[in-house]
Amino acid sequence: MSDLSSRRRLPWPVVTAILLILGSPVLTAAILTIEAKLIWATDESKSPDANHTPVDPVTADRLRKTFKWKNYFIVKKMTKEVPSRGSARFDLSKKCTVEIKELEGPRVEVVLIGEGKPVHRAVKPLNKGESFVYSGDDKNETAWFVMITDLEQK
Amino acid sequence: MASHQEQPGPTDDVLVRRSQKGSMEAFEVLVGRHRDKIYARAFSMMRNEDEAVDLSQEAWVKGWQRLKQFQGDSSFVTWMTRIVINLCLDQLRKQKRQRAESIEQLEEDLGGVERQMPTVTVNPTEGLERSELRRRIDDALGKLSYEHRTVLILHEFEDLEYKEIAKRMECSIGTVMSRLFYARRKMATLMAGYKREELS
Amino acid sequence: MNGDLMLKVQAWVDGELPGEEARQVEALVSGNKEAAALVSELRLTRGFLQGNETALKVPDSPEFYWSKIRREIERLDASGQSVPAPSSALWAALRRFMVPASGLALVMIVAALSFKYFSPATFEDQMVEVENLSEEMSSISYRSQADNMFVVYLYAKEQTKAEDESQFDPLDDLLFQ
Repeated sequence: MSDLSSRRRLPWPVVTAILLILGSPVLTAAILTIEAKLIWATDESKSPDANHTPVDPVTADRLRKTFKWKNYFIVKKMTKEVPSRGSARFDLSKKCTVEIKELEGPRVEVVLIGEGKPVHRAVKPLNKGESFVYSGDDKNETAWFVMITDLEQK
Repeated sequence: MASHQEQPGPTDDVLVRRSQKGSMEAFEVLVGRHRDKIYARAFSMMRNEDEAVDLSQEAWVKGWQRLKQFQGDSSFVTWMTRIVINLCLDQLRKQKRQRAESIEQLEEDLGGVERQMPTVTVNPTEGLERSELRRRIDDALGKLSYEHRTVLILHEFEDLEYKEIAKRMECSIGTVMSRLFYARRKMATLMAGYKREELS
Repeated sequence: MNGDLMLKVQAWVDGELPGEEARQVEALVSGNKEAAALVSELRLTRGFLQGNETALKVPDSPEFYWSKIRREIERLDASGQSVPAPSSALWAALRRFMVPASGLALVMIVAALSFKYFSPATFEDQMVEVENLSEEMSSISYRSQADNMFVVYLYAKEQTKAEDESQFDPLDDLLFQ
């Protein structure tokens, strides 16, 4: 007790204010800048679609470490802001849409919609530099990926 | 078999707990008590007596198998209704591949017809006896396409939100909204039509 | 009123609009005759539908109706129906998808599970909820710590069933060398 009393103490209104600020959901609210990429993976050196561009080398490296394909092409890339407690929709192709909602935490809810129908839903925390990836098989031993990244935490 | 009209008996909670411990007798009482409601929901969606009987029975069997998962978050009959709804939706999806397009489906595909329907301003049900009102509503529901009728049932009679309906029907919320809009406007128009026939 | 606005009015009537949007529609309805008439009709329709579904009875006798249910339950209990074991083709599909060196990813799944027991506090922060919304698809989720990626691999259920039936060919292993 004597140790405690000898220490300098903060006035209680300041303590209360600090606690309120730290506990406030406002602090955990965030406007997210989300990048969503639809990527096609193949062992061919070129994509048959001239509009596709190769992914950047850093992303290609990351994908190659986990997946077996040699080459990865961007089909569509979109960047949007997801407002605090709001959502944003990324129409990556006629058959592929992702809806992202910002939740408290911050966590995000990601819903993958295929051909107009909800396919999968995930709720997860945002980790610095982490990408959230949906993947699936495509024709002729190729694959597709939807790669979602929080640009502010890259 | 115990009639669902015999009262008072053990509550649903008591019967569910006994059933969860393996009592077929308790489950039989639950079936007796709620079979009409579950069957009615199946019929409203399938509009076919035999299919509704089969699907409602299948729902009861599934209910027995999944009893341990029933936590009591909702009432037992609500939980069973959800099971039969899902079975009906599965069946409707399978049938859709074979079913010819109805006029309503074509109207929906074309889009916009519901925006052109004149607004119904006079209550078309005023003065109707309840039995006649129910008969007309049932008749009008029978004139909707499966998709329109389903979304109307899930929203108006099962109180599901758009998001939940979209999930169950495997479509977007936008599709739910437009189907519901069409279904409601069509119902209002049909009911107004019955009223005009009555008065003429 | 265009179609989108009509749907918004409906959503407002149903209480499905968030705060600010609801206020905007409410303001519109109070100042627009067409919108107000639509609201009136939608509420009228809701009003006459509620509580007025036809009450139906099961056409079969109670005993007959129950007997079929009981027989089916007994048949299933006798055949010992249980949750199907994980498909071996499921793992084959995953292996085809990944670089052999990231059997690492499979380790990550185990690590993520064991993390729960060794560091419960931090595991809670990292918890991910996943949910299949399609009856035709299944999924496997895993985290690649090394590449800072959380991956959800989606596959068609029918694909797995067909592969189960055709039996996994061990020669496929050579393709992963």
